[in-house]
Amino acid sequence: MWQAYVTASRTADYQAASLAQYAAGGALSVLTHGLYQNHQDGIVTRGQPTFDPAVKIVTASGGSPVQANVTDCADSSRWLDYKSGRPVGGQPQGRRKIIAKLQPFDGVWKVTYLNVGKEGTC
Amino acid sequence: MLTRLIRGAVVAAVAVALLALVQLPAQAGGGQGSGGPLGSVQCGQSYTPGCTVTAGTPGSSGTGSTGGTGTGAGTLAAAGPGGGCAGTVSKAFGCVPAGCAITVQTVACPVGVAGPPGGGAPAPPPPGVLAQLAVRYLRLPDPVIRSSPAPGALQLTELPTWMWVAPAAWRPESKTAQVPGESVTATATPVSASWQMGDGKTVTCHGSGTPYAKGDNPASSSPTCGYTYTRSSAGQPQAAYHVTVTITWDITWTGPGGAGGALPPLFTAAAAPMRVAESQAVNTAGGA
Repeated sequence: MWQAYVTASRTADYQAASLAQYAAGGALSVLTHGLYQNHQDGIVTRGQPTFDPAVKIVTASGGSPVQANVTDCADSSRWLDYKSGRPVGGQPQGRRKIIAKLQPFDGVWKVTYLNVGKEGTC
Repeated sequence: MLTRLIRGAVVAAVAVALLALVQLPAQAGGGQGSGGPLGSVQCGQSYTPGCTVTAGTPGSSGTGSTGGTGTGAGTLAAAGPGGGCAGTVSKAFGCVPAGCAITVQTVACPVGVAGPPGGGAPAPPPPGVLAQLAVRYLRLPDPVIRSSPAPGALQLTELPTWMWVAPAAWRPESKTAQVPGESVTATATPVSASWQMGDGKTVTCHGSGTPYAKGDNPASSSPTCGYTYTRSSAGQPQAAYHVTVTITWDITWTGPGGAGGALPPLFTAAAAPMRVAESQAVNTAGGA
């Protein structure tokens, strides 16, 4: 999901079809509107973040997975906002704790809940 | 003239004081830097909707839904891991910027998002920016999957399944964002429901679907939103198809002087298991 978001963020493409392949519901709303805000502000991104996800699978009584809870730590120090060809000043550098929930959509796991914390939370 | 100057200065001073009180996200004002690539999706800090409330409790509903995943009812997860709310955390609406008052209908903030470059009194934000603020505080209901046969009951192959979500939740939701001298209303309208039936097929319905009523012929198909399974779910996990519905909400806004426009859609989703059994052909011809 994040790679789809990173790719879409290079052109602030809030209509990128790839987003819906990895996210649904409220999480898709978060990503779409985050990119739309960048689009409105003329902001694109360059570089690449790193992540450190830990996954906990939630199973139903019969043992089949119904949900996955992911706790992540994003480092965006090498992924920056650019405006008019220049990096935007004053971007926070701290790592951000991310909490996500995934559910299967016809066999494809998608992020349905996404909560990105402020910098310095992990 | 002097009076006017003094009055102007007082107004400007008051406005600047209020501006210091209310720090709406800098990105929206333009020219004040950014929160970095994740700043625009950070809960509590941007105009991003949909991330300040968690999803509903799985499996709590007797209707077979495993809970919504939208922006609606649920328990509050503060304003994101580690906080990040530059304001007050409202139980119903998440992070509300300091100085802003929020109700079901409105979010009212005392000043504009940012002053113009070079000083002077803060101007109201562009209406499109105010619209984004309104959208952030829209609370859309989580869908609850209903069907006939019900999600908890056994479906049969070749027997039409009717699908719907609560019609009462299929209606436009509006929120008005107000600053002095300007007011913008954003409206979310449900436009389509995409049902992934769990067997690889997707059905798109342009409405909530028709609730099955007593007296309806069970052999008939839903007039608006239905599906007929052709294969049993016996080989699936839990011996059930994992059905999901995703509702797309179109967002429009109207502002002062006939201004208006559209914003990207919002989405809500829910899931429910459906067990489908092979319907055995009944031979009434008296053969064999």
